[in-house]
Amino acid sequence: MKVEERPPAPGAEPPTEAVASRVGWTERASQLGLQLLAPAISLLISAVVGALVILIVQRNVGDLADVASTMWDYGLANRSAFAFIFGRATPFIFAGIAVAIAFKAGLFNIGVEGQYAIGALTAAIVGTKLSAPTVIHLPLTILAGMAGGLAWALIPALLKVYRGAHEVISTIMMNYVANGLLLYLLSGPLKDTTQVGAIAQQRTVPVEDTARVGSMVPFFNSIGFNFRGSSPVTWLFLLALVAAAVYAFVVRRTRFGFELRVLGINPRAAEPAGIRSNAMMMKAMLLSGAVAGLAGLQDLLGFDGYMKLDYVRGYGFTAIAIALLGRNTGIGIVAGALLFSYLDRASSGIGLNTGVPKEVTIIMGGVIILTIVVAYELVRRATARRQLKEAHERA
Amino acid sequence: MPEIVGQLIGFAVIASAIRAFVPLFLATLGAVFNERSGVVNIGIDGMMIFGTWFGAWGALRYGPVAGFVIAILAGTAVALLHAIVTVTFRVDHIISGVAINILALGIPRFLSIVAFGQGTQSPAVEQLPRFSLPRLGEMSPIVPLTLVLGVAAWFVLNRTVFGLRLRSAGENPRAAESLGVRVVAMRYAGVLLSGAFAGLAGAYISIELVGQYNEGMNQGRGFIALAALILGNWTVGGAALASLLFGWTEALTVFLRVSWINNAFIQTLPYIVTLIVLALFFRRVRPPKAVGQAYEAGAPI
Amino acid sequence: MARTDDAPAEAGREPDGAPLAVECRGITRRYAGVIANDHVDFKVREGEIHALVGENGAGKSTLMKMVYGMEQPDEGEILVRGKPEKIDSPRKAIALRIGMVHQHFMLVDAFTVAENVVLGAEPANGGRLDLDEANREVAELARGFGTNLDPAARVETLAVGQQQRVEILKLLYRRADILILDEPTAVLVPQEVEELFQAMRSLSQQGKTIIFIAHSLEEVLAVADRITVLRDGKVIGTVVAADTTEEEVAEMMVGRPVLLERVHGQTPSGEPMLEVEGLRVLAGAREQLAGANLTVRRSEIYGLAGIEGNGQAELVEALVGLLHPDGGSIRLGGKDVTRATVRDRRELGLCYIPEDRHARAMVLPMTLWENSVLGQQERRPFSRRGLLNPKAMRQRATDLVRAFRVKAPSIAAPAYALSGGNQQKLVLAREFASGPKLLIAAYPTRGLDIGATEFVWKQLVSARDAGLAVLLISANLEEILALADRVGVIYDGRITAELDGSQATMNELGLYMTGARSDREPAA
Repeated sequence: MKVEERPPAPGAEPPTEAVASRVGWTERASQLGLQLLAPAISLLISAVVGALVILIVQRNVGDLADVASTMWDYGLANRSAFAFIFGRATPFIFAGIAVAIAFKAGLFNIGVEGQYAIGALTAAIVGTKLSAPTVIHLPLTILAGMAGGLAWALIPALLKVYRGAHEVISTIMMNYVANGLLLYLLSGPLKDTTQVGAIAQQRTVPVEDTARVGSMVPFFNSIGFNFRGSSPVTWLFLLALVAAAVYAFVVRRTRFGFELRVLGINPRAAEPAGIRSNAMMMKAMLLSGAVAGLAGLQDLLGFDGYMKLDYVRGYGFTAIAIALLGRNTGIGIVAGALLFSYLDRASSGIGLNTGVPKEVTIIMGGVIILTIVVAYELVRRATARRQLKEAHERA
Repeated sequence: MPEIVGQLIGFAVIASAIRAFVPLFLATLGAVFNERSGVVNIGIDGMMIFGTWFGAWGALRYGPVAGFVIAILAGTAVALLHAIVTVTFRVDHIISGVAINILALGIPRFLSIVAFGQGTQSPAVEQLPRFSLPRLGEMSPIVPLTLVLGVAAWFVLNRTVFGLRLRSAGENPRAAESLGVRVVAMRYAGVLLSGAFAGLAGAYISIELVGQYNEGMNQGRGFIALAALILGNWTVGGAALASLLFGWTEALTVFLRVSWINNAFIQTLPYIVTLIVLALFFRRVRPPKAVGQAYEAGAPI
Repeated sequence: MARTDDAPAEAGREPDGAPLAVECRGITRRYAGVIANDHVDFKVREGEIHALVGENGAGKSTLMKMVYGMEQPDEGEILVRGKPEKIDSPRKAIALRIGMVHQHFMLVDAFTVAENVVLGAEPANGGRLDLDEANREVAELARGFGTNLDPAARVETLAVGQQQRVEILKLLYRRADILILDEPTAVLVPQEVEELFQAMRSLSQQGKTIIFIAHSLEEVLAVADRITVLRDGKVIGTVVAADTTEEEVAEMMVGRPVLLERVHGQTPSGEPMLEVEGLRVLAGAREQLAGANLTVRRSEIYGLAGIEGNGQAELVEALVGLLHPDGGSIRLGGKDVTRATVRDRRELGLCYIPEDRHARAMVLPMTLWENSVLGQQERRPFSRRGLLNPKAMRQRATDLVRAFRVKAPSIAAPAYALSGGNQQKLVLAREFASGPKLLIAAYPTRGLDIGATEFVWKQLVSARDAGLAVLLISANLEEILALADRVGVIYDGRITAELDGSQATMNELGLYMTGARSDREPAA
């Protein structure tokens, strides 16, 4: 039933009510509490499921204790644990932002996977073929990565806007096509033929030093950390944090962000408000692809130094979980990326130190996704119900 | 006969296309059921992956027939999860489906390590006894079973009370409920049937097509099935034709060898054809009216 | 007037011995803090046509949904043919031979007439659907009901009146003898209404009990035996139709005399603001708009009447810029805007109150202050060089809420926290604040109660008096006749008549709306 306003009594106009222009602090705090409740429930359930899986499969409580202590000792307390977490969070943050941009416009970009692979490829081409001083070469290489991701998002975006093809299927198909393209290029035209050793890998020649990204370990150690020199964290981590901040600002404080949100929440209200939804969808998808193109760069420019065939590494799928967990907010994405990065770290610890398959953390990640969407839905309904009720009590 | 013709429509290609048709058509049939009941199931790919794993595992432990049964149960169990999340909790269908696909990347690997001692493949499994067709060679008994299931699915959907009610839940759930149709039950039925078909399709891939479980062996067939569903306009007959087309393109990846196209690109043929199909047909079809919409039983109108 | 007294009586009978089909005793139903039904006692005699009237939100639909098992009462009991029943689902109601035709038809468009009728109670052999039997039974039922419907026709191909017949057939097929009709006349033109009433009378003569929810008192008095009035969730009284008057029932409904007077312009209308010539919109091969001509002047309310689906939606979308016409031209203040974007038209002074404010005019989860600038977000001071100015946006929201007396907890609340009437007020306030020259209002009072409706009407009139050109699209003829200076009728994609608002009558409009007449088409 629609609850309608009662007509005012004739002759007696109601007094103009003072309207609060801001929500009070207590209200905000309780709202924030509700928002955090969902991830908390989700994490708890995933921990319980993880524990149950270990118990069922291993039938040994000792293993559970091993896993728990490893998750703490190796995952967090270890000297270089945070370097690893920050380093792994870097591609997660980029990929998470990419997914979130599309989500904001009401689109599902499941093609982040293919987009960063192609982005890494184009970056590798610029990184290997060009020679220039670092100040020019590195930015160009990074831009090339973005261009590659953007290009790979262009086809699903065009199909969506001009042909109405659902982006979920088309972006996934593009992932497979990207695989084919990588296979062709890395085993053919771009293959490094100068490799020495018994087994030649399907990879490019190394990128020039001028296009490599430096380690961030010296910086962290200069502010009091004590990471091992070889710890995997590069300056791209800082770029990822900046990207998250810019993303948050754009969504909340720019007209583009406003129109993106309108389109994503209620596409039918967008056009009457003068928002050209096709153009916005196009922009959102291309921007998403461009940011996705950054996700493969740390591996390429920071660690490996060349493009390999295995560059489809699952960041795009984890990123969906991260964006959902972080509710598409900048800070939420960073937090979600750190969490999944920690699970990754814990995973290698479990593999090294316990008799439990390290893939238990993948299960926990999956459970987080499924429970988080249910938990957010329940919280949303609870808040909506409460607000409606308050509105009626006031009326 | 020029070589290229043989590569396109030779008996070996046809036989291979039929083998590739089977899992695609089974999965598409499943998709017809869940979509016609009003639920989107992007997780069909994940359900197939669970089918490949549990099929191989069951075949290894209890023989191929049990492998199929276990895979069907596994697919149905995962589908139950999707149904609970989307129908009962009314979460966005696509989000739930994506979550299931992500689970399907992790759980089978974990299970493989526990059951097979390594993460990415199983030992070879026993297959069902073959029968032989002239010119086409040996075939799995699942091939005729698939055709029977196709006819049965058409009959159930179009000629039974259950089918009419299931379709009404996907077209206008409010109208259906107002006439006493249990919409929630119909949607559960649609999704569970979809999971069962996906599990069967997955088991066919691991047990019959390959003879063991390999990680990634499903190769996105669940998504191709969704494209076949669209191309087939949500009908059983259309699904059969569309699956044949996709099965044939898959066969071409094995047989087609053209000097001026690198084999790496021929491998991507099914995906490119899927993209083309989406581009050409997405706007011309008529999906069930209420598909993807949350439905709250007894909610105020 | 004869109010029936409430003396205790034998269960299932009135004090005078008349058997009761339905009796509600002390029914109370609450929604999130609102009482929709407050201890309602309601009796319907067997074989009568009983009208249930009241304003929007008075609780009529809620009461009927409980009788039909779609909702459950929080307190009280429902007796059917003298026996207390717990009607916990439509399934149960059907078993009790109660049927309901909903205001918005509950039909499966893609199914045939027969499939729609038998759904849920199909003729079958062990689960196998017997479609031939279904077609035969439905054809027979339709004949007995005096209507010719092809059971194999797809429902989406039928006209609205025929679809309503399908709905009634659904009830008859289920052997329902208590029929609930929820505002059945809302979608019909006067001529169709008369046909419906004849059908209702013949059903009543066959012994069926009909409960009929209605707005229009004229209609109620024409067909009902007795009338029960609800207000604010309470029963005000039950009267015998033959012994009462329209004024009396109206006063019971609103608790005060109602004024539905014509409000015509004080100032003569000025130069043309909107000029539409030969506008054509195709959907596939079908012409949704087949060369519509229309001029709306300054200081004028142009009322566009018509049965829904005759091209109104396409006309509005083409005027606002949501779809590109396949032919013809649109001029706004003398400038050709046929191909202009929505944004450009808005800059030229177009503002738009869409038919469905939830779907097209608001983003419900966003805050009031964000919704307050929707459509004007590119203007200063709300944004500058692409950056938003939340302070200016909040200020605008506060101003709008004050000026239109929008009841809102705070401007930071999400829009869904507002009632429908207040949402509509905010939309009106926002559009008026955009500095408009032309206002396009599509069904602006749909779903609003009388109080909010009056408010909207006053705003439209004062906009007109301030010099705006107003195009009012409405299915409500009373609204058109009360407000419009000129009335156009749209039928089958063309404006088939243009009449002076003060001369037009309902019956005349009805003839044009059904295509029975089309002799006053405006020249291009």
